[in-house]
Amino acid sequence: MFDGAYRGRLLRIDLTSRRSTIETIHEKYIKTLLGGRGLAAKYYYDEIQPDSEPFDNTNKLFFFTGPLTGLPLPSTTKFQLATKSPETRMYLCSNSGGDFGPQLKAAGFDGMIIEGQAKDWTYLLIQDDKIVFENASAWRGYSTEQTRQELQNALGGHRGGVLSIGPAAEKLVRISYINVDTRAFGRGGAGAVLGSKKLKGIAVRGTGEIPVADQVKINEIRRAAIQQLKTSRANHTKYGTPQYIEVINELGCMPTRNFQTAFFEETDRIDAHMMRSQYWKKNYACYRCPVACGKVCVVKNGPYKGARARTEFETIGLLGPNCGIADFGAIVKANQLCDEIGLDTMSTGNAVALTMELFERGLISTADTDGIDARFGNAEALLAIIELIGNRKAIGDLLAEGMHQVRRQKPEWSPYILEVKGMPFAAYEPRGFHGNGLTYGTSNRGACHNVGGWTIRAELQSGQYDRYALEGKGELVRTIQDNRAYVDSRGLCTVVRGSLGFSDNPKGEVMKAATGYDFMPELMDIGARVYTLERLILNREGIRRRDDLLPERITNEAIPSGPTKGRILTQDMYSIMLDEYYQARGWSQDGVVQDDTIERLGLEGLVE
Amino acid sequence: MNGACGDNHPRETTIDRPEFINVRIKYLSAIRDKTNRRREEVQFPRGATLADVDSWIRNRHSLSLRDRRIMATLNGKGWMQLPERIETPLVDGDEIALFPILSGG
Repeated sequence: MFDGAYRGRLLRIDLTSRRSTIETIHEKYIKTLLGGRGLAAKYYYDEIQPDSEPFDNTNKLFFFTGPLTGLPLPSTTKFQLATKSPETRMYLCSNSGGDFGPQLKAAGFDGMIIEGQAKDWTYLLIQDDKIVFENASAWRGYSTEQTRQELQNALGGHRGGVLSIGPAAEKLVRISYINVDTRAFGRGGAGAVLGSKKLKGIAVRGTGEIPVADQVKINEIRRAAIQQLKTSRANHTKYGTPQYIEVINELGCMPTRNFQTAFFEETDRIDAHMMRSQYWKKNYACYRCPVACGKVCVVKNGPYKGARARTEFETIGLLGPNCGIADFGAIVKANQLCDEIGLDTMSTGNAVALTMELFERGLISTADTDGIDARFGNAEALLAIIELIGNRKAIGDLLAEGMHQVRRQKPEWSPYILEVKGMPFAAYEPRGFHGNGLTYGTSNRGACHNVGGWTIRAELQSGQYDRYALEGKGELVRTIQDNRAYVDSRGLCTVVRGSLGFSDNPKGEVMKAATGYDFMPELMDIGARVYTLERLILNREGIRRRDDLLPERITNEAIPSGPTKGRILTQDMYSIMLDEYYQARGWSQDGVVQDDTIERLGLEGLVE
Repeated sequence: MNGACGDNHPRETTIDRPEFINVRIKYLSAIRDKTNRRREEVQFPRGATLADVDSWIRNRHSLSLRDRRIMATLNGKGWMQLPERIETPLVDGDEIALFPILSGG
């Protein structure tokens, strides 16, 4: 059925027995779920029991490329991960760029499943069909970057793809990320799952050609896409995602001092122009990406001189304004520290901001912070609290358990905790874009702006949806989520998707040229199928309407200052959107997928 | 119509005249590269609409509110979502912001 793009094989690695097997992927799964996120969800559904704990040896990591991963098109870098999240204690999907996905596919595999638990610290070398287990005990305590370099060296000088974890993941810090060739599976704490399995990293190198069905057409599409991206993504090339800092702040949606307000007074010191003129060193590009949106920043003077990190919007927002920090150099330093230790900058920014608010309110003291004066705006406190989390010291030991556990252990802190399903907020204030509130509430992995559906453009520009309106947001969020679900299942970066016609009214020529199979007109249906399959998993793990609600600060407190002063998203307002959303999805009013929806989406044979 | 003020300059004190309204126009993020300033305070005749602002910006900066590559808001709301869209009448103190199209962070 497929003349290209897929390899049709899956590599399964059992760390307990130190054995690997190669399996065939059913064509039916590919046809109905596309690849990437869809296939990862399917294998998770089949193999992870609802009561499996994230650090049990019954938990697994499901890595899947999409059909476009590794193809000669712009930014075909993405691959997907599913696992039981240490942070949220439920299903997690995550995507990453880097070289690993394309290399895995070049090695002959569409996916890889890691299961079991190694006896001693281990790393894996995958070179085409050759799989080697090696001892990594000497690398304990190594940073993500040190580990990455060691693994790269282990490939004997050949370029490959590398996954690595840092010391936080070794300590089972539940907000640890997996480094992927300096990109990341950032959210949800997947790094700690690798840590629990004593797997310090994986290097992969593939030497095979990835076939495509119509090479001439693919070449033609590539040339046109690259030409378009030169103009359509010129701002990404120059400024990257930090270009949003000034805009989001002016729109009154910048998380500020633990979301106490939504406008930060000093964005001039941390915006894209400051980054570009004072800190930018060079651009970073993922595999085959002409946009190169990554911005390598280096601090040239001051107390953080020499600090270096690739600083993105979400990181700036959550380690910066959300902690009251207006020193870009300190943000770069904090970013670097998180990267080295192996902490997700977004969950870490939320954890530090919570600590600072608790401290200022007198709910914790220096006895809890290891002597740190944990006030908003104190850059040294920001760095010190990150260290506490990474080393599980003082209050950092509780924060390392993730917001899920913080709320349960300290229910009196609930008014100051910003999370949904255990995942802390992204760097957008939902009281300023109500659709964004629904995004956080209904995202299949917690308060995420990507999986949940990034509504802000539609809420400003579509001509249909006022940002503060409630009606219509259910359908809007459903559509964006389904779009994202099929995009994540394809293996292509979202930044370039427009150049290949992957909107919510997608063109099919790329898929046909790559695979030889005409997925049209079903791409959006596949997105809906993938999203609903994930919700079925969540339902099985106990997720219901009560888990889709927003935290108290959003529903009970109006924004006190700035352009969105007075805005609030009360529980009643939110319920109007949520009811409409469930209806648009074909879920019950308790958020449970209904039988007729399973049938309509063709999921019956997949979820027996 | 008067335009004045930019980065690092004191805002020009506009003289209150009943036949004019004062409008602030902000140029955010990469749009600033095209205007070489963050904002301008501009006086328009009373009764002016967003279309008048659009004409003024076209003449001064070769930019347009109607350009699909640009987002433009009036007091924080997208102009396309306003009932009268580009014909929306302005009032004294209105704030217009222009920025590149957003696509997620």
